[in-house]
Amino acid sequence: MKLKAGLVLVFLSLITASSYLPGHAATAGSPLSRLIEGARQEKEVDFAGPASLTPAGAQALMDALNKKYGLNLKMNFTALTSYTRLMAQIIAEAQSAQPPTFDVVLVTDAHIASLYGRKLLQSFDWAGTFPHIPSQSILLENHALMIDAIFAMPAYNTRLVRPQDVPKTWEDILDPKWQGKVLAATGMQIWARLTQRWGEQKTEDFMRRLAAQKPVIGGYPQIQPRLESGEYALIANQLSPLIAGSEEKKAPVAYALEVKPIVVLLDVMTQVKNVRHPNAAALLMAFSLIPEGQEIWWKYGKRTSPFVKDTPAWKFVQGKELLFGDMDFLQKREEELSELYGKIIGLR
Amino acid sequence: MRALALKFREFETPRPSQFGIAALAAVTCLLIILPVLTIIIASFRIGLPGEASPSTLENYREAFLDPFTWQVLKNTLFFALGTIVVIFFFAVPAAWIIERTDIPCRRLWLTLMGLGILIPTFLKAIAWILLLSPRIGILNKLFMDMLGLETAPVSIYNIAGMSFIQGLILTPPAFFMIAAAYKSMDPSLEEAAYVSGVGRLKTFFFINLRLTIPAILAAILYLFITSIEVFEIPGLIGAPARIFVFSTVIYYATHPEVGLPKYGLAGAYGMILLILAFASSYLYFRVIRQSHKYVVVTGKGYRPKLIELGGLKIVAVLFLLFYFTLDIFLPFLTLVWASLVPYIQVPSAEAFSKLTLANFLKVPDYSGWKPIVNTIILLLTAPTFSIFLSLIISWVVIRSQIKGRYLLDGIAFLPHAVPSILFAVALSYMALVYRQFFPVYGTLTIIILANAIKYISFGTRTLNGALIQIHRELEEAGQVTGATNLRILRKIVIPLVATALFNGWLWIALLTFREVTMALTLISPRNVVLSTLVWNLWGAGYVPEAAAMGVILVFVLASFVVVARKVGEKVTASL
Repeated sequence: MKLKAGLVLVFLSLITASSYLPGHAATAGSPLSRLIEGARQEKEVDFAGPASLTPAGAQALMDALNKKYGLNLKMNFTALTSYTRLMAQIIAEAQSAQPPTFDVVLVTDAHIASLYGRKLLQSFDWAGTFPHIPSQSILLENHALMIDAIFAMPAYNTRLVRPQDVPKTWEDILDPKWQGKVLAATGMQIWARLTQRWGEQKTEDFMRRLAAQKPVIGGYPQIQPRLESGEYALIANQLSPLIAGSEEKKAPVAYALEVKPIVVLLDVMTQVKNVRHPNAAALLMAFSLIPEGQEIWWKYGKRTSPFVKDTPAWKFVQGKELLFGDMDFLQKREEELSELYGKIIGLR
Repeated sequence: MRALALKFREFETPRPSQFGIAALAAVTCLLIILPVLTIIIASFRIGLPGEASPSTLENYREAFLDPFTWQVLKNTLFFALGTIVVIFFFAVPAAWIIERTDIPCRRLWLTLMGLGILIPTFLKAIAWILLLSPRIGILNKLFMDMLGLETAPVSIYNIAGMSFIQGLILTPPAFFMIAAAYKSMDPSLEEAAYVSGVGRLKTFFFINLRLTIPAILAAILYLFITSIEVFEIPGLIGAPARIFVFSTVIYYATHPEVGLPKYGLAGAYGMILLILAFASSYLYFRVIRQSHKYVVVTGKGYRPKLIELGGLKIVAVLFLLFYFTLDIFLPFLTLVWASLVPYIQVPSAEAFSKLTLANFLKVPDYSGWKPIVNTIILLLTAPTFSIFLSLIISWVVIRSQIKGRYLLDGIAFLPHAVPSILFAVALSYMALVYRQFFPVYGTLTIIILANAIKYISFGTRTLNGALIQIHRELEEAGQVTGATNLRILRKIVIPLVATALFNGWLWIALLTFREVTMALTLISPRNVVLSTLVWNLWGAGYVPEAAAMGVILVFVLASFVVVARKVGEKVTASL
């Protein structure tokens, strides 16, 4: 089993090593000053990002960036609810030599492989231009930046699940007492990633037993209201931004925090080759990784990077056992395993 | 007599203006056929449109050699048939009551019929979950308390439940498709029945129902295919309970959590819809070939007159109230409730203490002017373009003698049979390939075009039913005076089918407003519309915020419907 850098058992030491370094001021003729000047000429940036950021969040990000770099860029934000559709659009545009619609996109680590494998991504000297960017955030040989991490784990309704019954392991979800009371998200990549820890046979057995629990299945955002309303007691695999959103609204929902390992999905920002506003796009990507940018990503999207010190994600991961997806695994096995587990659980 | 026969033969001979109309119809066909062909070709390839791939039957193998597909086919047919039963239980009597009788507050009922569509379907689904979920359903709990039951008596998580909700949602389009036929019906036939001592109910079944068979059949066939194609109710209520229909299978093929969309596989599933569409078109042709049987508007004594309901008035009002309670009042109350709570919850004393307007205050954060302006342009242009093309096609099909005209009608039905996602992908691909000639990629124009083409099937079904009821003698009279076909169309045909034209336009406007699948597929920063904003809020898990935006849009669009209806009535009356 290839785990490489993907499997992280004790995360704390890694985080400490990558503590935040403040961004330096742009000196004349430096790569950063050239980037800022280039962005000034470009005037705008077309960004496709998660719908949870909202147009207001995207505007807040742009305002803060403009303030920091003395610019007056305009943000054209497109909210996404389907990353696969975006991937298809980017590939179709590249094949017909159409300039990309979006200068910069935010996708998950599960999706970016489709673009990287087709050599559609633009690389950039991130470390040379932005010393503040943690090295762990620079992915795929300078072709992408990891902006935030999303944590996947079971969640429960605090009114329906007594404290002593809160799942402490993934296997606890399989307890017969939860039969017919469990929701499961359609995102099978979480189970696929657990094969890195459990192996394929154990994961397949787990999925068969989960299917026997007769979980009600649906998209991540679609099952969350059914947990909040008390229609169901548990979600087998839910994402942290949705749980954090529920907690902020004081809905009776909580993470099952003792479950190990917590599966990590990465949100990455990247730019496709031949975009119309490459300088503004690079600035936006880098800005997202400084504390002001991270603050906005948390306020609107409930997501931050565990590699930027003092962010909610940084605090969350302290002492936690995390499981990252190895890029090699993501490219070779994740899609096939996700399909298999989807079929086992009854999803076509 | 010989002179009349001569005139009739002259009418049958195509004239230059008829060729012009036929040419326009041919261009429309091209607009439809090209994307459909793209989808068919994609179904024989692997990968994304435009990617190098040898021709293969792999998608068909994957789709049709899997026993799961046949279970899906069975589910789909049961769901669609169940939906049709519910639709016609409500739509046919409602059309007769509202259009043919002296029911009070007729304008209010008509407006309400147009309002149901304004409530987003996913919020209606959530409303019905809150009402009829076996665990938390308010109505179920009420029944359990009243009847002393230990388990919930009703569940919506089955095909019957899905059909019930979908049928309620699709009743208004059926109503609008058949209402025009009832409205333009010559009352002399009913009066003859009454004079002969036949009761109202018997007259309804043996006169009204029979004379409107083309309109009803058109609506049945159109909505049967609609029921097969709709995604939201099967996706939100069926799929979680593992009841899959073709629309959900196509959705999962085009929206995998990992990897790329499988448009080829979705295209292979889509071929089943195409076959069903062709089969239903064939049935439809058989009926409209007999169209002379259904003529009710002739040159003599055409004077629609309303039937007096008398003591049955209260029954009719209760029937309409029952329908609107199920389709509008209960879901709208739930929508308002959802917009006022911080998160989705069942009404309780505690929940009432948490009511807040915060979700409404956040709405400006999610919008801006651009989507509003884009939506207004879309609402005004797409239905106008669509209904214009529909009129041309319907006229050629029903009125001309051009060979192959019934094939034209089948082609007009195609966009409806093709899943929206695939249709939009094909259009997008064509816009990319031919961008030097038609620079519409990423613009609002491509969304306008997509909606206009997609809803030609609705426009032609509505107008065919209305045109069939008009006797040729009215146009022949125009021919005798030497008028051109275009003039006859403008001065005779359009005024006589004005109600159907207006209903068709209004309904296409509303369908365009709520259409989200194509808008999302064709999205760029320049062409965002309101429907995608609401969808994105919901897709991001912001259900109360989506509900707040939904409530605001319902009020804004209700005003639009009221104004449009008033203007429409004035315009149609002046024709």
